Amino acid sequence: MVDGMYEHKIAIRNVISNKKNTMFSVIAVALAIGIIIIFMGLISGFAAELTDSITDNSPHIRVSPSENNDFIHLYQHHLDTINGIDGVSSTSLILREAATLEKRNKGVSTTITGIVPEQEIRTMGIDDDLIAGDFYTLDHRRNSIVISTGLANELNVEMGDRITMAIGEDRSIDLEVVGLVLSGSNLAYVHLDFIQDYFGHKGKVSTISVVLDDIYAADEIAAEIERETELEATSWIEDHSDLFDLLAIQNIVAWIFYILIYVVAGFGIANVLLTMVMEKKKEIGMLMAMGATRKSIVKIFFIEATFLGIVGLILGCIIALVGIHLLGLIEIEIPIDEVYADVATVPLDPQLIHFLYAGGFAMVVNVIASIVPARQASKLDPVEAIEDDT
Amino acid sequence: MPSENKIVEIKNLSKVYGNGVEVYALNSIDLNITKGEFMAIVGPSGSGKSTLLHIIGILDTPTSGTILIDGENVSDMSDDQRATVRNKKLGFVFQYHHLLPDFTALENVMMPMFIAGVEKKEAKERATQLLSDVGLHDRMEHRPNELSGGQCQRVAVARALANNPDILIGDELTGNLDSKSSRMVYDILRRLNEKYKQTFIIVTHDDALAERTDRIVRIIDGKIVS
Ligand SMILES: Nc1ncnc2c1ncn2[C@@H]1O[C@H](COP(=O)(O)OP(=O)(O)OP(=O)(O)O)[C@@H](O)[C@H]1O
Ligand SMILES: [Mg+2]
Repeated sequence: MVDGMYEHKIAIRNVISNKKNTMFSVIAVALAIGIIIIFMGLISGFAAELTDSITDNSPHIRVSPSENNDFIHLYQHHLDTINGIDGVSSTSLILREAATLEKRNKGVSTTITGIVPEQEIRTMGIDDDLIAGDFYTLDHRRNSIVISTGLANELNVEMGDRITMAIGEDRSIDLEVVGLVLSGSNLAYVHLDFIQDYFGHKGKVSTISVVLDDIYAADEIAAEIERETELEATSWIEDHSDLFDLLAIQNIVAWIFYILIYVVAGFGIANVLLTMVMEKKKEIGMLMAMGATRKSIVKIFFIEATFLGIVGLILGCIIALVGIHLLGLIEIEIPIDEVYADVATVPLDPQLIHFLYAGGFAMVVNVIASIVPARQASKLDPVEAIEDDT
Repeated sequence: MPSENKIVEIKNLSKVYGNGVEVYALNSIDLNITKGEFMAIVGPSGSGKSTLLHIIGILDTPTSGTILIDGENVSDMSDDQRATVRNKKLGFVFQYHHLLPDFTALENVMMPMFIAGVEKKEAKERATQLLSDVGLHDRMEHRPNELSGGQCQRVAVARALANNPDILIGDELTGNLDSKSSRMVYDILRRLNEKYKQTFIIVTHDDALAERTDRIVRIIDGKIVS
């Protein structure tokens, strides 16, 4: 402590000797900071999880036929153009057709996805959830198919079984199940060449999937693809704009919530300081009689508020760290289908910036909350304060 | 004019309180106080003694008239300037000591020096000397709640003298003490006045104590009568 800075001496001594009063204010600040940091972690964890699950299961950019076209023609040329764009990491070709998959008396209408296994594994990592067989079998075994566990359960088939793919009333072909993917939805993959052949769409695809180095460059690169190929290119961000709008609204709601918490904490601090002013009236008056200026009295209260704020800040950060740790221990079971379930943890993404935000705001709230009490103290008339009989 | 010997010069000073009905707490007072004087102000309750002390102590301002402290017109000063004059030239002791409860006797005596920006070492030396002067050299590290009423009041006297002020102002400073303690405080004041030659202005109800000062000023209804 600097010699001669008597305001510091008085402020610090005052706070330390009035622990009972000041504890309330410290706890108010600490709880506000702790809760807000945890909430920020939850919200950004939730957003990160959402982004992950979107970008895991769909391409960063989906290139579809230009208007009035059902297919992308001359796709090899377009593919070369797209692969030549900076920031594009890989691409894959997809042709989708509707068909019915049948086994004995059961039938399920679904979309059959034609893929080039090597491309689709590289771009979408579709083999991540493979629990039996192999996608590459599609390359060399004629009339083969990979289906999801959900579909397999519905048709009551297993690896190696044959199922029938039917289009309309009159055309059908038997396919061998060569792979099973863990998923509750109806997924069916065949080779691109096979589907082009069978449906008579040689030289055509329905979608080109594009994966990027930086997922947040999706909008710009999509625009560039549209310029260069005259095809329709939709980024994952655009595709899920509803979700991002919701996230933005959620963010606003969260900030309103933070502000309310800070307002409550601010009133707590102001209340403690005002009580202190009332209780210390005579001593403040005496300090003025001894020559303390009004500025010094204001300073004393600001130092007290800052000191209380810093202690609350440290305590709040500890509360946040403990809370985040405890939340991280919670495990939630998420069912995938009747048989399988996934264990997930509460999505939490604590960041240093959250601590800085919460702390910075707390200090601002502290200063604002001490304005009224400090002014009140400095406006005291020394004679009245000293002679006050209460 | 022998005004260099006067520490306080009051001319035609009035203090009027009132919303609606005017109350003359002080009514056209003239008073000169000489340097080094030990003076008692006496008078019945409500006669204006405290009001006069507060004006001399620049804690309050007159409604009309002038007051010079050490030749300076304090009525024209800014808030901060008045605070500085109080800090450097005036010392206060009130009926209740108003010591800072979280600080030791020594720290309480050092406080006016801290406000004045005096170095810690120097402040400590002087505070130690003053506490010895009031007979509390063995109580320096005690806090107010560990001291008796008389001892606290002696600490308050030491604190009032911390910045070697020209004037010490005491408003019924023994009013809360038993007669033995209050005589002791007066003996100390008498001795300090002789030692440091400062001006002491004391309001008291105790005629026996007033008799032992250099000069008695009697106020009745806001007027000096003798
Ligand atoms: N703030 C005030 N507002 C209105 N009237 C006041 C105020 N302060 C003092 N007075 C009045 O001024 C007069 C003088 O008061 P003062 O306190 O100076 O008397 P005193 O001589 O010190 O009395 P005591 O011996 O009881 O302390 C009284 O009539 C009192 O009611
Ligand atoms: Mg009085």
